[in-house]
Amino acid sequence: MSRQELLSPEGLRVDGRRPNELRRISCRASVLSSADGSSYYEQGNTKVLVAVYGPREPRQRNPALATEQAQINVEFNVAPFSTSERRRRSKGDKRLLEVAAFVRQTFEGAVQRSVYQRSQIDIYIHLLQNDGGTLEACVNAATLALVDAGISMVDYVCACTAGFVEETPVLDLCGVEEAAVETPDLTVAIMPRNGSIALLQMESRLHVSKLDDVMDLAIEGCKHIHTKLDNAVLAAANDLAEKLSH
Amino acid sequence: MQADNDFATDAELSSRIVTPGSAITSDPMYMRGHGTFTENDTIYSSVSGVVERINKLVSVRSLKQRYSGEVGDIVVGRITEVGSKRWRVDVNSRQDGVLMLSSINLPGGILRRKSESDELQMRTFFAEGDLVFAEVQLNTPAGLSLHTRSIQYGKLRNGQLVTVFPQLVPRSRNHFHSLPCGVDVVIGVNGYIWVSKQVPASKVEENAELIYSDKNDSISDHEREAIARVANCISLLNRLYVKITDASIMYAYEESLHHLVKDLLTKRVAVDLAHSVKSRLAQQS
Amino acid sequence: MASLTLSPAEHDFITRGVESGFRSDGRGSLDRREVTLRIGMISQANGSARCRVGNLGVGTDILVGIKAEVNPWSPSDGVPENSGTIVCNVDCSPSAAQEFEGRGGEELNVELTQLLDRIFNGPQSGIDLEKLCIIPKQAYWILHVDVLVLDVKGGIVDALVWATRAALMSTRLPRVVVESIPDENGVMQAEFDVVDDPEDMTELVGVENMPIAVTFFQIGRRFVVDPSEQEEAVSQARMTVAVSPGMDICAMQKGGVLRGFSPALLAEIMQSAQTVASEEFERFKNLYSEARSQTLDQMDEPSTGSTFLVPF
Repeated sequence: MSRQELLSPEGLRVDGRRPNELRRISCRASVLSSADGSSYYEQGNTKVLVAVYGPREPRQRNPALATEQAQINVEFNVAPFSTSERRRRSKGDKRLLEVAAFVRQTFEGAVQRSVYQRSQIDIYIHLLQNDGGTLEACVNAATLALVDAGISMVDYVCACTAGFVEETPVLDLCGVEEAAVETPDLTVAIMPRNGSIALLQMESRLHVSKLDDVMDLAIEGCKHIHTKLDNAVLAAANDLAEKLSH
Repeated sequence: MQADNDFATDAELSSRIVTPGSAITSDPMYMRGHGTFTENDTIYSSVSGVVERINKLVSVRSLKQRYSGEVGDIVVGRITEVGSKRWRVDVNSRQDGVLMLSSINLPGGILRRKSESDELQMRTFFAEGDLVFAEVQLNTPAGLSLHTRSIQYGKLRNGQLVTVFPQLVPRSRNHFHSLPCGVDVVIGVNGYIWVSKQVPASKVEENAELIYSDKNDSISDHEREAIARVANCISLLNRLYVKITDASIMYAYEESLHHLVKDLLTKRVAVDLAHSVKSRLAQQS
Repeated sequence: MASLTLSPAEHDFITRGVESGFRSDGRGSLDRREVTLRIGMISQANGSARCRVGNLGVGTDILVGIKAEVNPWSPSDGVPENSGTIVCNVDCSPSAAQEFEGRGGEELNVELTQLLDRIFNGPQSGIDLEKLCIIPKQAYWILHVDVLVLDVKGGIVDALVWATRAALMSTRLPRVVVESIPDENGVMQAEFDVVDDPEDMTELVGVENMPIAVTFFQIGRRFVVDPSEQEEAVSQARMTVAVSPGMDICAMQKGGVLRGFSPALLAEIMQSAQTVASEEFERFKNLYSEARSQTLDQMDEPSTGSTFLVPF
């Protein structure tokens, strides 16, 4: 796909967005009744469902491994129907394990693990539909599910992607944009309170002079996403508080 | 996010809903409690919940959370593992609890010296899957330590278990209730509730050997129906977020009488019933 | 299938209760729990459905996505030359049980996949597989039925079939245009073109003939349908019967050791299966048309988010 097609002469992207426009985000907590916390998150056509269990008794109880901090365990599952071409991945698929590892490391920095000694927090992520920005969606959905489970965190973790098309920094890449070979693709996750970076990943080449612009744009995106997530959490909390106050 | 001085007034401090990373106060006179952390002299919330202020202690009560356990709590637990001199107990919490052999009632007197044969016969007391009614003795990093010594009930029999959100069970002095409808309930603070046939207290004291029996008494059809009705009432109170007490259970039971037991678990009936119970509870207070 | 460990007292309470005609939640032996059904939530798939079976929104929770792909025909495929095929795949998520982490769910996945295949991959499914042929001996549609089990609270098979049924009913295939074009030697060759128009899609032929599964669980000397988690833990054997709308038996499968399994007992089970199935067909029809008329933004259920199924 040539660059021309990714950005029209009027400056519109393939899905009609402007370069600094986020896709539509819709999210909700408490969607699975058995899990301690759960969330359903949509960013454009990318859809993620997360179940959180914990803190709970670790599955492998090994006194030698008894740590003072909670263990975070992440499993990332991609539904075969999530991509335009149906594809079934094995549980040991390297890409899946890599995403799970990224998510785990990200939340190891945000969850107050010392509050939950000798227990385990399980995060089960399901990618139901993939239209780009999957790592970003997974992180945002997992944040929502962890908060829903009442797990202590120092802050939200909000992620966003950004890239570079035709000399223009673009925010929140959709599937078509990500697939374009020449588009550098940066995923950033921040903890909004003090802006510290929880996750940083980039594919493809980007000239160092352009990095700042793309980073700034992504971080702006993260802040908008923070508002969305916070609103979803507040809505759920107000709902519950109202019911419990009788 | 900076700390906002608007939150320094006491009235505004309480009952505010906050989310992780929200600043609560920078006033140095406050100390931080559960659900908060400090950074640069400001107290922040670490969970989504309601701010609570008790004297100088500021904490955030999470509206949804696993049971954490306090000394003195009355809980219902399920044995998950039989070890040497101890049992592991699932108490619906962050970790399994522990019940030591030395913490249970042994037949033939409470203070009998523990001998070798007791350890070998651990399973004659409790085996995997058994439900116990216990009290939290200690809260340790290895989990809650339980005891059943001061409780006349060992294994729970003649009924069924209902699991509810721990937030809906207020702590009270009494967690065992013999309901007027002819059903006994043991309401564990940890969200495990045992609903069973009513057994007069005198009968239990008569034969201490019975406390570890696996055998149920005979249960009549009428009793079964009452037990199912109470269990369903508790389930619907739980799903509709109504506090679970002997009073709310009885209100629900009374209101439920013009429905079939099985219909209590349909959405339509459950919503109406919970609504009626809430009205009655509001009237009482 | 259940991983729940009950005490001997609970075991006995449930068993004696069932034998006296009293299930723990007051249901009769053939009474089923409430079902919530949603369709179309995976917009990029050809069909999708989510089905939850249980009391008050807590229950067995299944999500199905269907992707249709054009496959070039080859004799070794095992697919008849003038037919298409349906391939099922079940994946149990660790959110249903911790044992399903990593490879832990593999055994159950295989068992459920085979069961679903037995019901849906073949003429017994009711679907006209010949209509899925594009050009005989050349190309055909494969319908990939991918199931994600999100939660198990007793009786998974019947819920699986419900969800798969709904997903197949909601499936839309693009129209295919087949033409005969002369090749370089003047010989007429058949060629096909898949029309890329979301307004021009077709339903699967024969979806109204799909069967429904009724699984009987033996507890003591009696049988129950749609067990709770506790009832399933107590049950020692089960019998699944798949029944078509025309009251044909499409598939049968026994699991465990059925006590006193006489021909008379089998006849009784078949009779009950037909009774339950005809009620279920009616219930399915109503729930499905409700699901169809709901858009994703509509939420006419109470906003008790964690209480009831939220459409997604």
